[in-house]
Amino acid sequence: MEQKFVVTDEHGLHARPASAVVKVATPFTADLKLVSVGKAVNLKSLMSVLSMGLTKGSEFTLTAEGEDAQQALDTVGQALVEQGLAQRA
Amino acid sequence: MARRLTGIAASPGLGIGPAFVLRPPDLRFEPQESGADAAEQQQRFDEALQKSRADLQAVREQTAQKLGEEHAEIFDAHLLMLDDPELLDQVAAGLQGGQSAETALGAVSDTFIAVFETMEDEYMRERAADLRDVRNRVLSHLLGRPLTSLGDLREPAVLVAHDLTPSDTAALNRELVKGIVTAVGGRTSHSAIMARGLGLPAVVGVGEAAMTLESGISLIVDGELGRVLVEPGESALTEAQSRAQAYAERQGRLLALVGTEGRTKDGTRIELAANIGSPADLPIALEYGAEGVGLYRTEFLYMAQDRLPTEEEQYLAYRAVLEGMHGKPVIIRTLDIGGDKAAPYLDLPEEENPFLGFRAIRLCLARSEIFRVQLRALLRASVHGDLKIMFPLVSTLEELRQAKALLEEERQKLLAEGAEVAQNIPVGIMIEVPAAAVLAGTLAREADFFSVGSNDLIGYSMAADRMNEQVSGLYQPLNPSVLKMIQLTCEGAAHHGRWVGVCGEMAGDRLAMPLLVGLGVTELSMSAPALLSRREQLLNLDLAQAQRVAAEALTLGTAAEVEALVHREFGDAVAQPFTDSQGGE
Repeated sequence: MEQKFVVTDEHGLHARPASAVVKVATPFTADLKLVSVGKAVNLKSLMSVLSMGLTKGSEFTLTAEGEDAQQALDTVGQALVEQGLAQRA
Repeated sequence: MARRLTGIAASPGLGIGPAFVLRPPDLRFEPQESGADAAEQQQRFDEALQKSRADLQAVREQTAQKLGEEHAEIFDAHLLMLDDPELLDQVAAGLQGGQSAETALGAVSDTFIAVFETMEDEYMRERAADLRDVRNRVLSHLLGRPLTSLGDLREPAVLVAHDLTPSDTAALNRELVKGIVTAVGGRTSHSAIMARGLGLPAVVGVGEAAMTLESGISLIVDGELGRVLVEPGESALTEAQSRAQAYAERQGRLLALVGTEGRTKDGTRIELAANIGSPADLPIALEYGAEGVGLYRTEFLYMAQDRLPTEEEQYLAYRAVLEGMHGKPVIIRTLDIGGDKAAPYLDLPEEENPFLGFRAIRLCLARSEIFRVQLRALLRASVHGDLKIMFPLVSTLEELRQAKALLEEERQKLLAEGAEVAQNIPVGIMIEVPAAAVLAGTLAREADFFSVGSNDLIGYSMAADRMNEQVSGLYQPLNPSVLKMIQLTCEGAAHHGRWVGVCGEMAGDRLAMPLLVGLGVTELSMSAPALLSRREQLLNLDLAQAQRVAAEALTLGTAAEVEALVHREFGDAVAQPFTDSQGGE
């Protein structure tokens, strides 16, 4: 299960809003990953997410596997859009 | 004898007190790569995490109380770093391999820190500092060596540090801390932003000399001028104390002026704008009530990397500034590079007289392929706000015509491509060369506005480099000759209904300001922290008096006479701030 996004925030996926998204992702049991330019990282790890260095216009995919995958994907996607961080592509 | 350190004015105010030098904690340890008991190390690590989490939660709460929820959010990121599954997994793997908790944590966090540090984006690079802060906290618990805590500060002091971590700043007691001095950092670093939030005077980026100061040594921090006076002496201290008092009262009055328009006592409108170097400078400009951007120096875009910035990169930066100012005027100066400001990739020849050489508009007209890219980016950004374009170092009418022709060509190309471009973009020039000042009446026919770049105009008028100690005494902003250059500029502009601004340091100078207004300048653009004091000064300035004093100044013989006249006429309104009187400028 996956969903594509484009970063819309001027500053890219930076610490404060990224923390909010990681917080949203953490309670789900599903295995959530952020994939960009061939690299996949754990969406529940703030440092891994930040270390991708996604800037405005970067495209990335969220993948989810596990029991609550669909719900996790929807909730995280909504958080990304609401924070003004990214748009569904 | 008093010494002086110079840095970046990060938060206004005058702070006096003994130094409290915050030395980095000694967190060295003997690495242990194998042979440690994994279970025991895991338990030590978990306990250290637990304690760190408790610390951070307390710090977060303190910050939310002192500075508000927005500032506290950075600690959410820190708490998440402590709980980071990737970091915890990698540390656990290290422990399984027989590493000690210190070694495993050190290795894993160093890897992430290295990743952040190599990122192009400055904001991301700063995350390395956050992680270092978190790592040091955990290490201090592992090693049983408590971090030097600002919470232990019992006496009033001026805080001196290499750089303040967010948790340092949160732990500081604003009743006791009188000012902040850091060795590194810029106007947008954590230390600077938090100091402004706390209303504490701060000077950042004074260099490693800061760390050679000893705790207890007497300091005066001037956060408006970006200076730190070391061991000022009895009488200077007493004087500073009374001035700090007056300063605090004045600060309260000044902050009430944010959001008002610049006007003289009799109601003449004088626009007060800010000089900026990048979109990152905007929040501060707005915080101090800038009515526009009077000078956006675009050369930082060109000097920040080892290649030319692309049209898109420039467009995004210009657009960010235009949008950030929400319809207020923004004057963007085209590339002012060459001479002493080099970009190695341009491969410019060494010059015997760089100030009389191949720079600014001269370089742009000769290397028009570079200039056209900037003009396109400017034209494309023009629809996002109130853009004015300004050419630097124009010394002849031909240069202005050529630059305008290139702009028109690029405009036509963009329109043909179907791009949107604003209808009327005012095009002005900087008056920095005596030739331009003298010819202002002619140039004003073809330029929509002038902005006096006083730093260069003074330098070229007096033929004196202010960085050269042998002749810096000749760099005289108040010399009648310089004032005459500005008068010629204003007269020439008025003849064709053009306006004149000043964007060099003179614009923010309390002594020069009444003279500039008296000569007919209607826009002053300066570094953001000076805006409010100039606004207050304007409110007490009578235009007729300013005109009379300016006219008299033009008849005087020396800069010293002009200065005496200004003091005599305007009295307290032009009294110098404390550190100015320490000389040396």
